Amino acid sequence: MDQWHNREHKITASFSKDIKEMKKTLDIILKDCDDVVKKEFTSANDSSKKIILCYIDGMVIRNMLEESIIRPFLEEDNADLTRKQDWLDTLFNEIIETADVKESDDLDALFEAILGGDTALFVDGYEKGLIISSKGFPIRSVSEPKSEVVLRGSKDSFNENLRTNTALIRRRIKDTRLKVKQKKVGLRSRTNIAIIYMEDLVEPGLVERIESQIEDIVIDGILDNGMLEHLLEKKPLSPFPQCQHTERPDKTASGLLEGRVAIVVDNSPSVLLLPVTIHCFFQASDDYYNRFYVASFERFLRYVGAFLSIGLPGLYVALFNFHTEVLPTSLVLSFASARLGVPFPVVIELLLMELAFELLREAGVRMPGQMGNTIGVVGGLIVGQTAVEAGLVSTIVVIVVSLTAIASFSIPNESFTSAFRLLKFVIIGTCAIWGIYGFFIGILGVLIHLCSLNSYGIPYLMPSVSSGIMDSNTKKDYIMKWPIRSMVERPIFTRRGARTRMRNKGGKK
Amino acid sequence: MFAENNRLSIPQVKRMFLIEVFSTFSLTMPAIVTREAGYYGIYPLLIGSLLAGVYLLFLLVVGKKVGGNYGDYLREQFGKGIQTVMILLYLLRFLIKSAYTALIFITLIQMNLLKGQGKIQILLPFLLLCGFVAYEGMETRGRILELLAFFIFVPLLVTVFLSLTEVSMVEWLPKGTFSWEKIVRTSGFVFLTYSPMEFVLFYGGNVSMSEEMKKQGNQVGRAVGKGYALAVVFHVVLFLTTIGLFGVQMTKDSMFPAFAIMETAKLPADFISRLDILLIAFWVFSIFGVMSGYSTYGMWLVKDMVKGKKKGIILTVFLLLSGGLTLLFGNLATATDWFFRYLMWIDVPIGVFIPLLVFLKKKRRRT
Repeated sequence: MDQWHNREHKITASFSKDIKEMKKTLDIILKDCDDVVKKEFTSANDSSKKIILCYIDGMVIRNMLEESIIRPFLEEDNADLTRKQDWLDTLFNEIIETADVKESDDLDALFEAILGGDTALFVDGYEKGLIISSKGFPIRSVSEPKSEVVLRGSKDSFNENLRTNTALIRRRIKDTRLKVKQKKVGLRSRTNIAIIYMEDLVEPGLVERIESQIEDIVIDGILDNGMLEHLLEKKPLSPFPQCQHTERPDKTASGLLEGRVAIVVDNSPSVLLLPVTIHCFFQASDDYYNRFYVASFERFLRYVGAFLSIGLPGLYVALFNFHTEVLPTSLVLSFASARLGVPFPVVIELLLMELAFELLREAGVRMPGQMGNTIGVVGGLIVGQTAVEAGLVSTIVVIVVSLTAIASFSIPNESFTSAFRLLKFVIIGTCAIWGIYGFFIGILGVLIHLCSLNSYGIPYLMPSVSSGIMDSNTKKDYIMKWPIRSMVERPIFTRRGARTRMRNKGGKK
Repeated sequence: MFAENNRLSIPQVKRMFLIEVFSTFSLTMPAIVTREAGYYGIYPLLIGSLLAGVYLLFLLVVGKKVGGNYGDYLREQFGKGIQTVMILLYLLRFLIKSAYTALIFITLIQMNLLKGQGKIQILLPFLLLCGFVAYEGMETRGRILELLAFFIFVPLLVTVFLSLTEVSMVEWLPKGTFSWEKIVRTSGFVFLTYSPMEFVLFYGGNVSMSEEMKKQGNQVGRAVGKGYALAVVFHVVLFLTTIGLFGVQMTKDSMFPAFAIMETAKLPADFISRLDILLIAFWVFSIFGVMSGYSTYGMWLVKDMVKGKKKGIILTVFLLLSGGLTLLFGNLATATDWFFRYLMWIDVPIGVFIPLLVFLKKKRRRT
């Protein structure tokens, strides 16, 4: 700590109405901050009337400051206003031509406003500073979602600006019961966080619990909602995400209408949704926009994909190493001929290919745009083909690895898919030691872990387990998605007594 | 707020009870009933099950009297000294039974999946999982068994369905000499196989019920009753399928006649040559259900006695002892003979005597 900051990193200096004193304080505290503008202006008619404007260059709308504050102040003829109070009244009511102005004598609040993109105005002789809303930092425009692409449905996604993100949600739910509570987290980053919920749908006590969790966080900075997600999780060692993050406003709005809570973190292009169950990660936005047969089929495919992505390589090792008798003879012979000349055992061969694929994937993600695609082509086609031709791996293993990868990409949530990618290696390990018995043991271990997870009191595997609890028994948005017309009830997340979402199904006339 | 209460729901109670009661002896039940009763095996199966039903009713009455945690109740009513003795008796019985269950499991896996592997290698991951689920608590165990019920009973029904065309109903008809003595003795054996029913005493205080459900009467009793009925039905179906497929002679000579059904099951397109290797999941999961029950309830009992001790330590000791005992048992055939004698003369009498004491003792109010 230095003499100007306390343990909570708040500024301890006092406000002074003497503008010279104030200038000195600003100079000391903002020493070596060359991006901060501290400009003193003196009235053209009366040199005793001074103001200081303080803001961060690049974070404010300079035109607005010049047009609404500086120019009126300099051009105002106020020579006749000899009484200080008269001049102050004129300054506040006539000169400053902007509506969003707050007063504060707390230097910490004033500095926070400056660092957040607002402008602080200090007036000589006035016992408070003014915070003028002038945020104008560059933000990315609303663009198409990158990781949650849909064929049907809206094409906008969140960006890094908290206010844009809350506006995108408000645009979809025009209800006064949509509440937005703002908080700050991070002693140094002072990151703005918005907790959004439907007042009449959210389970009582849930918002308070989340608020209390957020208030308990003492950290220097939160730079993305991923950090907040990890701090909110009850079992941080679990590979499975316990918060859903989405970059789609329509998905967020849908979650809010189900009684869930959305957390928007400034500088983060996605939103956290709480509570969550495992099945939320299998739901894509266009499930609700497409015909229900197609949507149900696609969702079922995702579950199959999840099983394949975690189990297929292990199952291959188990069957090929331990229990070839399970497969028909012709298939075993075909597998065996494909492996002719491969110098490695099946497990090593598979692990090599899986690791090579993970490396390619990582390289593809880190490489910029077109180069990423090139890596995919070079890795997948050329290296894979060459490895097979060189006899290092068999074609069957290439098929298994590719199928596993394709299956894992079918799940519409990246962090959720990552858990499957990791656990796949655990299952390969158990299968390598114990064969099909290891497969069952591995899967059982994963299931036990999943059963032990809760998200704010809701079982993670619900409604696969505990479906009858808390007076909720709806399974219409589960492995199969029923027609919208049948989904009359909201799911478990909604408070009891507010679970009817549709009173008139329409469309019958 | 949503509940995080470490309690069981009513459907979970039903499925848990079904798995706990059905699993251990489902593999060997057809052999047990045909060994002495031959073609009349269905009678002891039904009589033994009926006796078990009476025992279950008695346990439910005792469970209702206990109301909450069984261990706490024993201490309140009998004092700490007697409670300690009773709990040690339970613990010892759970250890022996879990060791025998593990032996069945190891034998099954060694015979069908991992012929060359040692007992320890097979047992180790299984015990770890049992410990893991017991460590996570009653709610997690309830959920996993609720989920596994699907993976247990669907393969079973699929197997039975796939074998139906091969079943000869002639084998169901009674033949040979009828002996009341054999029927009675076999009925006794069947009754003994239902001994895990006493787990019902440990459900008390761990079941979550809304006010509305409480008004509807004994929901736990109904759930357990349904579980029991299903267990009997599954035993009968397995028995009829087994003797319909293999006849009485082969059934009684087989170590795991119920598993043999799976060896005969074939998928229509013959895509999988040996379906039994995949269907063995049924027994992996179902025996896990019982084993995890012994470790869970054993841990809860001892945890009452040694308050403040860490769950992990208690579980490790329990599972190590159970695993050690399994290795001492030797082969399954000898162990089974010994085990049934133990059940008849020590285990089940204690399993009836302690609840009987609880039932007869006038309830002392808490001071």
